[in-house]
Amino acid sequence: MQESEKYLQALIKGDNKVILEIYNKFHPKVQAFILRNKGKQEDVQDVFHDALMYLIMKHKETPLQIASFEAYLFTICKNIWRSTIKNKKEWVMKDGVLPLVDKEDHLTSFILEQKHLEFYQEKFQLLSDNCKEILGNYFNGMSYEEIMSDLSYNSINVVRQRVFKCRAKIVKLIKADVRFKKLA
Amino acid sequence: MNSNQEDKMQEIIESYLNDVMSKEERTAFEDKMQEDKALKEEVLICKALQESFNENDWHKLDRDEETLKTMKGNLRSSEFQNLSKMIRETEQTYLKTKSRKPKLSRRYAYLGIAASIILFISIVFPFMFNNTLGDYYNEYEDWGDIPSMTEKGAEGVLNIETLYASKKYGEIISYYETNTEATDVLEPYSLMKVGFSYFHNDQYKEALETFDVLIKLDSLESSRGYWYKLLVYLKEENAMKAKETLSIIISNKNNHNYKEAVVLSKKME
Repeated sequence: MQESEKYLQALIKGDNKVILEIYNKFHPKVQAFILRNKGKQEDVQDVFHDALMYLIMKHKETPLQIASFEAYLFTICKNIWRSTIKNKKEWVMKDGVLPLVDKEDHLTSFILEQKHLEFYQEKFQLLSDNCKEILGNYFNGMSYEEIMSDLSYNSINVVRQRVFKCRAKIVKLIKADVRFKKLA
Repeated sequence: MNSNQEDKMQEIIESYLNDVMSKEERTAFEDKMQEDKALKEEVLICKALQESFNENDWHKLDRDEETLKTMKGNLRSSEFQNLSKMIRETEQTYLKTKSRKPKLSRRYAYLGIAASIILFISIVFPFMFNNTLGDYYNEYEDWGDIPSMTEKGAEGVLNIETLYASKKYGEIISYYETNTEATDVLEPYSLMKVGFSYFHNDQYKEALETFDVLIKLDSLESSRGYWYKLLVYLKEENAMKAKETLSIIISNKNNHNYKEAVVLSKKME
């Protein structure tokens, strides 16, 4: 049996021996990541727990096909942590205090957000290589000038038009998908 | 809409998303979105895309309370609650086994005797053992021995490899410090190089912290972290910390440079 499948089955069945193996193998890297990114030890436990719960929910809904369990789990943990930080920031900005939230609240919002993200990523993959490169840089905050010199374009105007075309293309792909109506 | 108008519209959307419109322009555009649902949809998708693909950002949804409620209901079902409880319990088991310090095995007890003999000799023949920690450092430092990753790796790993090969230690540090989200710098071999770079630039505190991260990774190579910390302490001439670290290394013969540590700890007693 594939490693990923073994771990996913163990999670769904609640096989504590294999789950302990998951902790032993993958927890240290997640811990190092969160501690490096302004997190505390309690955050590590919560993120790891939520990530495993996420996998259970997701796999039960539609079986996951994962090539690398480690990479997938790590990405989920990373995304949960990013989303947590963002939430915390917004709460603090609003009224200076952290509100009481249900313990399921964060996980459920995260599941929805992750669903959107995966949907967008799927559509992104359908773009041409050139569009992926250009939009990838653009969404990551590169300026038109930087993209121009990086990808050897002649003028900013050309870059701008490519960005617009590619973005229009992905928007069209998203709108055409029935799942978009459900997500929106 | 012809292609020109299309471009114009994209430009307006962009100004809106980047928040560079005047207050009047903004209000006018928002009014327009209220009338034109397709436009509104387009703007929202563009916004979501921008946030979704930005490594430093996280796309936050308008809350769809209905779906959230259903999901919460699922999570509160006894099935999920039991799984959650089980995961928490396993977490506790994991944390307990992890914090249990490796015990000194009985077969190292003789080291104590050996050490006391050496102590005796060192009192009788002090000239033989007048090494300073700095001398030990010179004798044992093996930074050249840090392995390199030759296999195809993530971009960052290769980045650090290349910088390290050309001895650009300052650049390694700035790469490490600016890419806090990057996962590739958390590879054991990268961390060793980052740690060494700090050490090379006399930033001992940061070097020690980096080796701690390496140790926490719990990878096969993590015990090198203790050895490198030891080298830093020797260089700093911090005898107490050096001895503490040595005793961790010799508590497990699988640790990196175990034999060297045993010999060194005898010398230092």
